[in-house]
Amino acid sequence: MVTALILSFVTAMVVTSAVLYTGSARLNARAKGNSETALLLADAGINVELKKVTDAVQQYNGSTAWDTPTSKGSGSVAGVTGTYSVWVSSSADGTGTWSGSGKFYITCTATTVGASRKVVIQGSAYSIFDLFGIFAYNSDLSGSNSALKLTGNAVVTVDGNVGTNGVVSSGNGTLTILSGSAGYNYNTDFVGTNHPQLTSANGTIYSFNFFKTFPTVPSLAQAAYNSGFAAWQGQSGNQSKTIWDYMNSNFASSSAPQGVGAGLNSAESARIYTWSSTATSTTPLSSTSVSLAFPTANKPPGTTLDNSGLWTKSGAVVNNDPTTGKKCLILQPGDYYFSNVDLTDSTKELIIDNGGVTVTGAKNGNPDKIPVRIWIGRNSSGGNADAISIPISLTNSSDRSTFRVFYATDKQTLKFTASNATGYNTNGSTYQVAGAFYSISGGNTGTTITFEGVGQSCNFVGALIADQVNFNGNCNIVWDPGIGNSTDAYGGVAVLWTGDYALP
Amino acid sequence: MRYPKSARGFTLVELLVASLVFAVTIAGALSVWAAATTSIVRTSEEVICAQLARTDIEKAKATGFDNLSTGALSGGTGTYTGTTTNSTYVSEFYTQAGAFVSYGTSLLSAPPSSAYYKLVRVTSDTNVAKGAGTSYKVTTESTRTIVTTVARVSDNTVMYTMGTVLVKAGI
Repeated sequence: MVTALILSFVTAMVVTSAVLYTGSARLNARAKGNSETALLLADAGINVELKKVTDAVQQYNGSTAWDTPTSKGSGSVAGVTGTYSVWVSSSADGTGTWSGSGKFYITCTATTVGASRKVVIQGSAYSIFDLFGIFAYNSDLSGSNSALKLTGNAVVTVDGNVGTNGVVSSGNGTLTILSGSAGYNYNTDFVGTNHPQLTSANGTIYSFNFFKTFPTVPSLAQAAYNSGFAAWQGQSGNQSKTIWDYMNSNFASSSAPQGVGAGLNSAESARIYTWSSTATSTTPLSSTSVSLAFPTANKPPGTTLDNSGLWTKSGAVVNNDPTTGKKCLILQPGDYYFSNVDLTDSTKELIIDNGGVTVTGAKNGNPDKIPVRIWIGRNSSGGNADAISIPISLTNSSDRSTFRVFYATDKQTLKFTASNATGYNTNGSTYQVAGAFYSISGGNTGTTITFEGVGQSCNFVGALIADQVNFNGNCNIVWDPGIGNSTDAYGGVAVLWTGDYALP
Repeated sequence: MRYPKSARGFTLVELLVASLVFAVTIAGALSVWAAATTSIVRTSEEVICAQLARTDIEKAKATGFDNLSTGALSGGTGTYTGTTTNSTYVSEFYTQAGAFVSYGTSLLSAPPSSAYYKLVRVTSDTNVAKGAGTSYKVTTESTRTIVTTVARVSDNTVMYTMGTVLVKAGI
């Protein structure tokens, strides 16, 4: 009897242990599965918030339509048990309000039955110039007049990403991607079959099936001068005026301070300098070796940056570069507006003082990275093509983040022609320009940026984004990873770092 | 002849009672053991199904926002801002041990005899650009919701459902 009871007790204990173990194992397995479900929910919340941030920064109007630590967002994935809570912050611990500039953090906590997970990512908004060496925007152009167009036997190499929403026509020329990738075509894949001249040495050629959006130049200009333009447009008689009317009316008359740190809202011609008349070929370019090109109150308004009018305007004193002997204008960091550009006189040259070497005071060297931004645009599309063939040189040619040209006259072309440039930082007979050129008009036809080879090579270091990009001669494009500037419009949001955590 | 008390055997009654106690104990133990065995099998199923679901979501993420298959929209062009549930289902069959058996072509695909689980992935897209006919393309504005369900073939019991949302340049 006793033996039977002992046997029964032992059996009961063994069975109970087994049941407890299997029960525990099952709970543990379910908890792990639920934890994975919660992690995926948290990933979903992060992605939804990333899109909110991306959408907001790409509106280029200071929108902050994302969730904050004090007003968190929430959501779920249809069909999946559980919810998430998500917000954007300036600190990794999920606190602090992000201003919309620089690095940010997105925190998402997700809870499902019996499990919670938290995912934190660090991201940063990047410049519209951080994406492509070349991007041709217009998807409506076709045939031999395509968005990205090589004319004749043009030989073009690109060291960087290439993209277009439209069609590529390479004629008898060749377009070689040395490194990076080429994303072609919103509508049709033209790579490899119709265009064997498109080659890839070490890069990747692929097609994408979505329309890549970029802001128009007028929208960027309006965002840059948002408060001033809005107030001006609100005045009587200005209601129907454009951003170009505003810039034309206001840039010349400003008596804003000159030089680095003057602020981007004071763009005007009072900042245009020339070499001092006493400078010699051994004189270094500095704040003491230059003088104002328009010292009198008669500043040139937003008008033609041309061969004669600007240089010879009443009261203007434009001196020669003592080294090159060319009439020289020097643009310090800041914004400049011209309704059109006609710089084809080989006796002229333009120095872009993006290095701030001519700026009086302690900020020489442009440590604040204030860019030289040239805005070119007008309401009427008539007149001649805008053209630049004179030497353009940069005082800091290794810094591609501080020179910008925005061009936006619909149906018009901004044409760069290689010349025997012997300017400040040019490279022998090679036409060499560094910076970012941006030309999306928002008009019905769009703009064109053309590089004319004229038997010589054109070296362009930076980024080139336009409705239509046309190479009528040989050109080497080198995208620079250091091209982005904090004053650029955002091209999107990049994820820099990701971490996930189990929650009790 | 008298035997000492310690040398006596079991009486019939004692044997019957002892047998009864032992039988009841064993019966109870067997019943509980059967339940434990069922629990073990169920645990194994849940582990396998959770892994299948998670693996499928990772496959979808690896395929990428741009390359996941799209469904069909009827009529029109331009941008469709609502949500569309794709008609393209990825249906897969697995053995009880979680080994891949075959792809199905639709939810109505007849399962192979060796199939124990079926996996169904549904992709729902928002803010898509309508193309020719019923085709559409995802854009930078789109969100793509991926939901994967693993169910038993025999009785359609849903074992696990996991899901996430993909965006262009997301994680």
